[in-house]
Amino acid sequence: MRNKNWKPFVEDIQAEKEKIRHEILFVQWLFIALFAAMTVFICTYSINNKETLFENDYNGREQLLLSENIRGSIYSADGQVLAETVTDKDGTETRNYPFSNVFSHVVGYSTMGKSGLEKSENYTLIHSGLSFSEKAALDEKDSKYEGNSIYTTLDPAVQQAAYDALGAYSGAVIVTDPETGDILAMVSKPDFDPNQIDSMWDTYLSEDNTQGNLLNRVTMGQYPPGSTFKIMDAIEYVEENPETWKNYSFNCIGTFEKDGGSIHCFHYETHGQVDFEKSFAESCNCSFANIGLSLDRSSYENTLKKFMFNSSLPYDYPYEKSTVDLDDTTSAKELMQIAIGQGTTSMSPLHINLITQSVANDGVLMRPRLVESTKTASGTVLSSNKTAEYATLMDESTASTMKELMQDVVEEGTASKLKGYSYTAAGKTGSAEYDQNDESQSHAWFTGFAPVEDPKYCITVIIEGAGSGGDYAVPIARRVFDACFGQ
Amino acid sequence: MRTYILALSKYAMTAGMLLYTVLAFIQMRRTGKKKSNAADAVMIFLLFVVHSAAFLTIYAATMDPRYVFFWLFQTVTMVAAIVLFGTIYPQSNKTLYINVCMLLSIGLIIITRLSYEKAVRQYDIVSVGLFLGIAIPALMKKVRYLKNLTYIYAATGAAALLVVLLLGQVTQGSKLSYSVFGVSMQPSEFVKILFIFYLASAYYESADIRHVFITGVISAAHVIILVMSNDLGTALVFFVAYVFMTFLASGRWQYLLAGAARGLAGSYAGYHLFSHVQVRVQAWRDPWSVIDSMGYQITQSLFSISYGGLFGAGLMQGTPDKIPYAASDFIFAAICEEMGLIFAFSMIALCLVCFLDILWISLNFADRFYRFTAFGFAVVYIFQIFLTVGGEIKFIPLTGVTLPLVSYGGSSVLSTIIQFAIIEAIYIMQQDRIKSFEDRFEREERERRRRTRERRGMADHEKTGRIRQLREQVKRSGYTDNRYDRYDTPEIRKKAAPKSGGYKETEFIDDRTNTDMTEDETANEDAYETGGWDPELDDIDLNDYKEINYDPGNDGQKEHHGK
Repeated sequence: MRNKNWKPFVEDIQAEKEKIRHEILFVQWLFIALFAAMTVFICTYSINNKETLFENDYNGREQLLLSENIRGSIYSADGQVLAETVTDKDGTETRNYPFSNVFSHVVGYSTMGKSGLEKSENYTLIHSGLSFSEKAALDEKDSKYEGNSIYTTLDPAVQQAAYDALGAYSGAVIVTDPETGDILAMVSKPDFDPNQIDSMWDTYLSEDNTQGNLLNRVTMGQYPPGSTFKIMDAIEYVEENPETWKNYSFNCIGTFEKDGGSIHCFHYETHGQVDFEKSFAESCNCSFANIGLSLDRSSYENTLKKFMFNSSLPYDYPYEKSTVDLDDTTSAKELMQIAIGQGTTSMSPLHINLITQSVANDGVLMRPRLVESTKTASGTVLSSNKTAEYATLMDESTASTMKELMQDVVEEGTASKLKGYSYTAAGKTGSAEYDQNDESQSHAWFTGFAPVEDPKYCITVIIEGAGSGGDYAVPIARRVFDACFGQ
Repeated sequence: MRTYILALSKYAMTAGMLLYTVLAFIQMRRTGKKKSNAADAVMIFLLFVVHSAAFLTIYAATMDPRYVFFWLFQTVTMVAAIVLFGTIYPQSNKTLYINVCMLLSIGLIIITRLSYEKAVRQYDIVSVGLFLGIAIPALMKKVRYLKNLTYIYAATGAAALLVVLLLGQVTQGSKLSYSVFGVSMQPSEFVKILFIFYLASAYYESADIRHVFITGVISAAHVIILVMSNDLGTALVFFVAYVFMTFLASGRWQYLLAGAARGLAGSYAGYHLFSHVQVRVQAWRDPWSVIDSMGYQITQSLFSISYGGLFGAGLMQGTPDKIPYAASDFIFAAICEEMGLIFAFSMIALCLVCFLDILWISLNFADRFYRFTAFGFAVVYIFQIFLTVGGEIKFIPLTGVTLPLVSYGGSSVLSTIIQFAIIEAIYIMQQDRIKSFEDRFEREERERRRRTRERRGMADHEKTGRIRQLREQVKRSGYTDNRYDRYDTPEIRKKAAPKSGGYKETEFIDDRTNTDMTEDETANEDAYETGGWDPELDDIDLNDYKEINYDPGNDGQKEHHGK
């Protein structure tokens, strides 16, 4: 052994090592790559889907949090409580809604499942962002941590006015600030009392109940837009004929027929010789069917797309998409129906309100805002939603033309019940027929804004099955405006 | 105080774990070189920090004193095991042993949180395992015929699996375990070790097409028995071990590609043959549609992971117990929920570090049998982690294997500790061989010196010639050494130049006066003959040889133990 030369072994080992070095390196990098991919995958997945996963009904970690935290409160823009959790002496927690039915749909409920803000902001409400020292102080007292609060943009005065104005009608009202996109009021009827949701639940959901108490008609309701759709026709016509739209003229004889399609004015009224402004102000169906036929279809299709038909709205909460069936193959008959907001077209009050807002705000649509900020129970701001522009839907000149047209509706047209008050209003009425067999039945629409010079409030009203917009929806809008302007 | 502990301990644990993993990585990079003892000490300290912070949290949440005692027991056991191991095997890879302890302690923490009773049972097995792990390297050094037992491994392993298939108990629709003397065990976990030994012994001499075919058939037998027992995850682990070890032994990429192709074909066939495979694939692709049935586990796992976020909910502050089989198959999700993604992925990084460490032990080891064994263990270990973690995060379909060392399950944890102990044994043998080389080199060096001294009466040129010869030999061996440069001064060379007239007797020159040797060193060299030579005082730097992965043991084996 002593005389053995050790060199060959070193060399052998080096050679062997070289032989397998590549294999070893390959295995090494293969697994490093696999594990790196897994890390990236789960980190992005779990962090991006944190809230969705938490809200899943099968998760159940909500109960865990609620055993530690008290569900947070929801406040109005002026700091009034819209929803809060009250703890009894014996530790029983009850969710209290001081305004009862007034904010029922927009705030929602949280005991029989969830809806409204209670659902959308659930994650925030049941987490507590209190600092360690605050939590430690609560531990001393052996009480639970207070959950985070939601500060909404809702204005109780406007909401109450809209709620009262709607009275016993079925329908919906939404009031917004076109400059900021803030939602000031959102009322839907028939409504429910969230304080009694537990006891009334079976009644609301029974098959005999066809009222749809739990449905938020502002966002989830889909109605034929009726004459309010003429806003779209007008925008398209003015944009297509910026110089010549004023020269438009039409003779209304109460009915209008073309290619087998027949249109008549509301209650077969005859408007006689009308220009564009008058057609809009008087809401002449025959004239607008005529205008509709003259529009460039692909251009109109693009405009409707831009105005968020058949697509998503910039609204962060649940809503139904509006639909309109217009393309190159649409027949003249169908096009005439589309032009007067009948046929298969359907829209939510929210969507009509967004379009109205963009007119009021010189063509710029602000992103709708319902939650202004979220704060901890001790007032530290966790997040705040800034007002933000969503899109420019039309030129400023088109917007100002539309404003004039809509003001004429109030001054000398179908919405004359808004004329002569301390504020100037503008808008468009609609009387949407919804029953093929009974043309006398119609939903009453009004969408408009005030004051015209510097719009502060934008309102959309629908009353189901009431009759004409001018007679039923406009007075409700007026009462809300009265409350807004302090009359 | 309690509030602060519950809220803040998770950050301490995350920081401790992160730092630990970084240190473990740095230490891993030193494989084959000298590992830092200071870093080892810091790592033991961090292990203690993480473990204590975890138990403090559990105690703060429950205020139950039995957790304090449990913590104490675990700490004492772990520290005793680490100290004992380091003392008995100074040549061992202590970092790897500490890493194993870290992973075990993470497992104990989360199992304690999930179920105290299970944790106590796990602790018993871990204690047995850790001390068994200390005995194994000593045993392995004694047993020299491991590589000759090829077919015994295969027969024992396959027989054990067959017994489970025929007599085993059904859990979760699979036959995994059977009871011996009232103790339920999962033989497949131990057959894994036999299987790796089998492959290593089958391939260590040659991996030609004949060997590959025979091992292929025997491996297929193992895999088929497992598939019939419905233990698909383990079947996959065996299959992958075979493919990768064939690849390493043959060095042929074709075998790897063929293995991948067979894997795909097998998966395709399995998908169409077995309805439960289809269900699992469905549960992976869209668990939400079958959330009531097969998707339940995976969605609960995703809820858990997501709820924890980066830092976790904090121990005892989540609901990981909602996931079915949280302590065994879904322990990774439970860790994510309560200790956070950063902690969980530090842990996975630590597993990768262990894997790389084993891989490099395998690369540096001379004997093909042990090299293949280490490689096999590395692949089996990391692939199992890939299967379980990937399944829990919906990266791949669920296969139901455990996270080695961490998951609850006696057979799994015991088998994994044994695997790591075998790797330690291999590492220790390697270090011993380097040491024996060093010893021999030392001896040869002494011999050389003696001869040099004998030649002091000889001619200088003869002396120089011998020294040149020695230096050449050393140089050819692949490393440089200036030890002999002092004999190569111009004066000596001049003297050594052959003079005309042939050989001439010259006066003896004590060349030591021409060197930079100190008086102490000179005296030391003189003491050589009388046996008082002290290597410490000599200018031979033994560390020079450690870089060379010389394996005298190999030829030693041929001499003494060769066939």
